[in-house]
Amino acid sequence: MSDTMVKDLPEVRVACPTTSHRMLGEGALLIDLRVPEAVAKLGFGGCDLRAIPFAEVEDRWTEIPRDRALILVDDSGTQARKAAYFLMFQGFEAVAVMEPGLERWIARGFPVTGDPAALAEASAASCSGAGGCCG
Amino acid sequence: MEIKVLGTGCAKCRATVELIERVAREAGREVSVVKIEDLRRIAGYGVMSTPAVVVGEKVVHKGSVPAPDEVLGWLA
Repeated sequence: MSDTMVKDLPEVRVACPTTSHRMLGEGALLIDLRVPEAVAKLGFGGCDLRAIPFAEVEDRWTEIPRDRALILVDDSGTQARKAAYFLMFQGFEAVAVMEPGLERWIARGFPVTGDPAALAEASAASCSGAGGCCG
Repeated sequence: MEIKVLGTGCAKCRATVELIERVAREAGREVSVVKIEDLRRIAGYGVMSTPAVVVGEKVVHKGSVPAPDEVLGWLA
């Protein structure tokens, strides 16, 4: 292993879907970290998006433009936070995590690709109910 | 000596801590194993794949439970 540079990273910014939607409209790029099968079934629409599965971020992060604000999203937020901090370590400055993710995005009426029924099937057993975000 | 194990509390991270403590005990070496579970601090080492091991502020292993021989090498 090469020599390690330890960095004291700031807390990652968390953006709800409403704020994320506004940022995307202002030129931010959405990075969807979900597995390709999930992205193909149901995805974020109406925005500039790049799908990079979480497992591939360490190998593909150089594909991500440095000159744009980034919003990372996954199913739970945990992987998005991991990837966000990794990118911040690599020197990316405008990085945010979208929480909650696709379910709340759809609930807010923002555009999607694919069939929203796929989400209903997936979340039938674990509905998050009403939350405090995007209030 | 101090060895840091970076990980968010998964089974492999716990196994890594236990392995280092066991190998050190069997080798008669005094080791302090420090667990770092905060995502921000883990990422501060440039690590995404956990568990990872830090010896002397240098990442010496990441992405899996290390082999016992590898641990012995860190204790040397």
